[in-house]
Amino acid sequence: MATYKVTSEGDWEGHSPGAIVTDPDLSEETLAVVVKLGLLTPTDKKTEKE
Amino acid sequence: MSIYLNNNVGVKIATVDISSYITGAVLTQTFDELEITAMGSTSTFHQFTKGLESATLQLDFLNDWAASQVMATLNTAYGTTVAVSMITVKGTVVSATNPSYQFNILVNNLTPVGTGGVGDMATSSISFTVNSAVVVSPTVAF
Repeated sequence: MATYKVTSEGDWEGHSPGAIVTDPDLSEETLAVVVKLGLLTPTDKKTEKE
Repeated sequence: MSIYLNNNVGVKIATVDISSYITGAVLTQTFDELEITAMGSTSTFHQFTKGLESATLQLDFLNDWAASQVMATLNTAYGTTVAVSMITVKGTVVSATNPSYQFNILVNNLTPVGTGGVGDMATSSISFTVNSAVVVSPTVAF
């Protein structure tokens, strides 16, 4: 699982800033854009796949 | 909801809500027409059947380079295929009479400086190729 922290000033898809989102339902390219825009930041804390 | 004033269409690109910059939005879906008129047909008309589907998204918008707004989003997405979410009437619950539309576009063209002359607002009018099926849903959130 990959986790991301909500870093946008406003809510991101219903999540408040600081919230942790696990495996957002986005394509790889869309997720890359979201991260580049600074809406989500990958967290260091990751759990291994089961 | 029945007929509606077309002044509150919602548009998200890569989860960024750019609705407040949009001045016009047209999602066009088409199927290829494949001719199947055969020898011996008794019809006096050409006959066609459905082929592959394609779609385009035409957006007219006001340029704004503020962080995580319309131009930063499109510029970051330039050359990639990103998710788009649309809704007929933003702010109204998604339903069969106010469905959401989910699809991907290939961001293959931009007018980053905008168009318009002296005294005009910097605007863009861009047509994007839809790069997936268009899913019309009465339940998926905008």
